[in-house]
Amino acid sequence: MLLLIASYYFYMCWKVEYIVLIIASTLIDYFVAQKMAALKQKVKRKKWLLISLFSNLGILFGFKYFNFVNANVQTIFDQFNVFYGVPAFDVLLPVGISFYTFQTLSYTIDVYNGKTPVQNHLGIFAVYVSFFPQLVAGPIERSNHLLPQFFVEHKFSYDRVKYGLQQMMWGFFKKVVIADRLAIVVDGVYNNLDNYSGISLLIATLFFTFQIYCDFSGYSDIAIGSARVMGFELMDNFKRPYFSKSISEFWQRWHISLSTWFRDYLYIPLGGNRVVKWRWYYNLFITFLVSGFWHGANWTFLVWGALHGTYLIMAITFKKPKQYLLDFFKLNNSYIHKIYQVSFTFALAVFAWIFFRSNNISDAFYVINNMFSDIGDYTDFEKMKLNLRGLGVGINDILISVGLVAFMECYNLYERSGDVWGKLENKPRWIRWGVYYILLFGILFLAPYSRVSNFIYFQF
Amino acid sequence: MNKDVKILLRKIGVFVLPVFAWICIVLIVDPFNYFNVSQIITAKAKEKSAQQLNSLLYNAIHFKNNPTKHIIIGDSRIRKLPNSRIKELTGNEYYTMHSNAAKLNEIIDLFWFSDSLWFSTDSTNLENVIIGINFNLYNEYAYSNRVADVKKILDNKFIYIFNWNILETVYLALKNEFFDFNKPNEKKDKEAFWDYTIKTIAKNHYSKYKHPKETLLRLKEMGDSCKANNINLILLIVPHHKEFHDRLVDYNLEAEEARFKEAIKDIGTVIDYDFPNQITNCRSCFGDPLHTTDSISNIIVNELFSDSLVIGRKL
Repeated sequence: MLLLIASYYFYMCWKVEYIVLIIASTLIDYFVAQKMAALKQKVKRKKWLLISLFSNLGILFGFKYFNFVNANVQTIFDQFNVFYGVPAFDVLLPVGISFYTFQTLSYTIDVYNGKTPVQNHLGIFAVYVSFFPQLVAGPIERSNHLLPQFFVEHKFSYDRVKYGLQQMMWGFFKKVVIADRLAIVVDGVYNNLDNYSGISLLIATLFFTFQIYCDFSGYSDIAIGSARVMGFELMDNFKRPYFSKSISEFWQRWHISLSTWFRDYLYIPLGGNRVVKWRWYYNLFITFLVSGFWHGANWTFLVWGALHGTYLIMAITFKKPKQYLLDFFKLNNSYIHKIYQVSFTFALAVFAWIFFRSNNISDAFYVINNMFSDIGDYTDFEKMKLNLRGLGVGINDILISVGLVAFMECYNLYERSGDVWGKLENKPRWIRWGVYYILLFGILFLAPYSRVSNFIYFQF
Repeated sequence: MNKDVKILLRKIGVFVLPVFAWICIVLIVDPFNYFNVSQIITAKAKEKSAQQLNSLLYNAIHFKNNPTKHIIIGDSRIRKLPNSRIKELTGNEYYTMHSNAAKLNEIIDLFWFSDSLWFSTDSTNLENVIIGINFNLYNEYAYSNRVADVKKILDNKFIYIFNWNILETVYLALKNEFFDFNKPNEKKDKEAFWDYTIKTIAKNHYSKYKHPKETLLRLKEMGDSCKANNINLILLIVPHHKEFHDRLVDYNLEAEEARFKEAIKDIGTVIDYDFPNQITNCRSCFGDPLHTTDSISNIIVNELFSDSLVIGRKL
C-alpha cells in the first residue's frame, strides 16, 4: 500500500491529472486478465486481449501519435488542395506513457498466452504498473519477474542497500556530470545548426552518442539501485553497448528491456527467423521500424529505426562473403578484426543517432552533408578552436567532457571482468572510500547544475 | 533499530561529513559575498580572487547587495572607466557591471537583470545606463550564456555551494588572504601580447562572422524599454588601436562595421571613439590594442559627462 501511494505521489508530482491514465490502464488490464483467466479457450480470450490492446494503444495513440498522423494527413490533403479541418490535439505527452503501457501490455499478452498466472490482488497489480523507480523510463519489467517480488517480505540487508546506493551514485554521476555536460554542446549545436559545420557537428554528434547512453543508462542505474535499496531486483538495461561487435549484439546490450519486449511480443509473433528469407527481413525491418516509432512521433525516429533494421538485414545478407574474406585473409578472431568490428558498429550507431537527435529530417541531412566539410582542418588545433566559437563553452569544457567520457568507458572496460562494486569490496578501505568521494564530489562539483537537462527518455 | 541499519546510518553520516565541512568553508570564505554573513576573509582578498575567476558573478551579487540607479555594462574594456571621476562630474554613484569577455547577448541580459532588480524591489527603473559595445561583439558567433547561470546561482544556494568555480575561488581567496596577497601579478610581455592580440585575438573575432539578427532585435527592445521608462541609455564604442581596427579590412568587414554603427544609431545615444583619431593612432594610449590606459579612460569620461566631445563623436 505504501509503495502504491509513493508511486502515485511520484507520478502526480509531475502532473496530477494524468494519474487517471495509469489508473485506467491498471483497471482495464486487471479486469481483462481476470476475464481471460476464467476462459479456457484461447479463441475466446482473444476478444479480451483485443480490448486491452485497443484501449492501451488507443490512449498511447491519442496522446503521442495523433498530432503526428494528423499533421501528415493535413500535408497530403494540402497537396491536393483539399480542405482538412481536423484540429491538433493540444495536450502534453504524459511522461513515461510508452513505458508503463508496454509493461501492462506484456502482462495481458502473457496471461493470454498462459505464460504468467493472473494477478488477483488489485493493489499489487497497481504497484506493478506504477512501481515508481521504473515508472517513467523503465526498465520495462515483465510480470513474472517483478510481480512475485511484491509478495516477498524484504528485510533490511546492509550489503544489498549499500550495493543499491553505489549503483545509484554511479547513475547520478553518469547523468548529471557526464550527460548534462555533453548536453550543453549537443543542444547548442543541434538547435542552431545553421551556425555550425565541420568539426562542431562531428563533436556534437559524438557527444550525443555518449550523452544518450549516460543519460539513459544513468537513469536505469538510479532506477535499479533505488529498487534494490528497497529489496527489489530489476532487469539490466545496458551492457556496455558501444563495445558491441555487431548491430545485432548492440541490440542485446542497448535498452535490453525494450529490445527483448519487441523480440517477444512483435518479432517472434510475426514469425521471427523461422520463415522464408524475405519474410525474415520483413519481420526484422518492421520490428525496428515500430521500435523507432515507439521512441517518438517524428519521421526522424522512424528513419532511425529503419536504419537499424537495414543494418541488420545487410549484416545477414553479407554474412557469407564477409566470412569468406575473413577466412581468406586469416583474420578470424584476430585482434585487428575485433577492433574493426567494434569501430564499425560504433560508427553505424553514431550515424543513426544523427537522425535520432535531429529536430527534423532536413536537419539530419544538413549534419551528414556538413560534418566533414572542413576535414582538412581537423589537424589544425587553432582552426578547430575557431570553428567551435559560438558553442557557448570553452575548449577546456570540451576537454573535460572528453575526459569524463574516457573515465566512463574505463569503468565499462573494468566491468567486463566482473561487477565493479563487487571488485571494489576486496580493495582496502582508503581505495573504496576514495572512489566514493571521487564520485560524490564529482556529482557535487562537476555537474553543470545551472544547466541541467531532463532525462531524454522521459519524453518517450 | 536493526544493527545493520545503525551501521549504515553511521557510515553515511561519516561519509557526508566532508560535505558539511565544505558547506561551512563556503559560509566562512564566501568569496562572492553570496551569504554576506562572514567577514573573516578580507573584502580585498575576496574581490581579487572572485574578479579573477568569475567577474560576472561577483559583480551581479555585488549589484544585488548594493544596487545603484546608474550602471555601466560591458566587458573588460569598460572596466577602465573611472567611477570616482564620473561621480565628481555627475554626483551619481555608478556601478560597473562588467564581465571579462562578455558577449553582447550577455550585456543585454545584464541590463534586464539589473533593471528587474529595481523593478522587483520598488517598481522603479534604472536611470542612467552606459553600454560598452564594439563591432567585435556584434557577431552571431560571439555568443555565451553565462547570465542565465548567474541567475540560477542567485536563486539556488545549492548551485552556489556546489560549484567548481566557487571551489576554485575559495581556494584562491584563502591563498590570497593567508599566503601571497601582496605578491605582484606577473607582468605580461607587452610586445608579445600586443602581437598576439593583433594576430590571434583579431582572427578569433573577425574570421568567422555572421550578422547577429536576433541580438539586434534584442538591442532594439532594450532601447525601446529605455525610452518608455525614461532611462538615459548611452552606447559607448570604445577605441581600439588602429592596428587592431585595420584587421577588419583583412576580413572584408568594413561594410559590416558601418552597418553596425548605422543599426545602433537609433537605439540610444551612440558615442563613438573607434574611428581614426588621435587616440586610435597612438600606441602609448593603450595597454594592449583593445584596452586604453587610465589617462585615456579619464579623457573619455571627461568628454562623455561634460557634454563636450572633442575626440569622440556622436553618431
